Amino acid sequence: MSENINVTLPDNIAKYLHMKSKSEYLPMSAVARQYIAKSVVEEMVIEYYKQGFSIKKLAEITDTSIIQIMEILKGLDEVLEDIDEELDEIET
Amino acid sequence: MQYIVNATFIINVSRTDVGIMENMEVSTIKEVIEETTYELGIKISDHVDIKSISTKTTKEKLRIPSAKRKLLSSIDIKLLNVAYANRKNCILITDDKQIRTMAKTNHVRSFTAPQYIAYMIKNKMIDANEGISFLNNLKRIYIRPKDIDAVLKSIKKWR
Repeated sequence: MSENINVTLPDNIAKYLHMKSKSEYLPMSAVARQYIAKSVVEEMVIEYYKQGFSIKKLAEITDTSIIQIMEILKGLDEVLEDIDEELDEIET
Repeated sequence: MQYIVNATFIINVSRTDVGIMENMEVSTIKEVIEETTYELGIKISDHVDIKSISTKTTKEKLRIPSAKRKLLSSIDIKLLNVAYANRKNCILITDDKQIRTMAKTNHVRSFTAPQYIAYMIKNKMIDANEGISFLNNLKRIYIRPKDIDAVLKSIKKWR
């Protein structure tokens, strides 16, 4: 399923998309779609992750690979809260 | 001790240095192998020894509240059930924070990939230099690079 959405873009963005469309031999709409999809998926992944969704579930919801999900989440620069405490507990 | 791994672990290790898995005795369910085959384009169990665990033998099932269940995939739930059934003698290795939290809430011990490498170094299951080099390489792709810094700091303290 897909939906047509008409959007008006500022001149500078339209100009850049036009340039990309020429260099990549793609219609301008396809280039715009790629940019929109990438940015929306990234936002969805981060928002759902913060709600507590697992990585595999995020991959299913956003139709994205686990590798891509992990790459997006790397940008959050997170650290596990209990990492130091747990490392001290590692036994021999 | 049984080390049960999920897809994030297999993917991270395969993308860093699959050779380190030769030192590991890990197990997983067939669904995890299938999903990593789809992700990586190779069947990891054809290259390294990963024991397969059946989900059918799982008698005890994890109690997951419905609000939490919707946050997990069916494979996540299957793997958590297997780890729960073997909780007295297993460690679940995953880099997924949500799965880890769910495991720990249900008294299943869980390590991330860097913690597992630290555990292997501490227990002399791998050479420390090999483990440190692996961690430094893993850092380039790892979901939480600062976790690796913490692990490397701990290893330095032990040595």
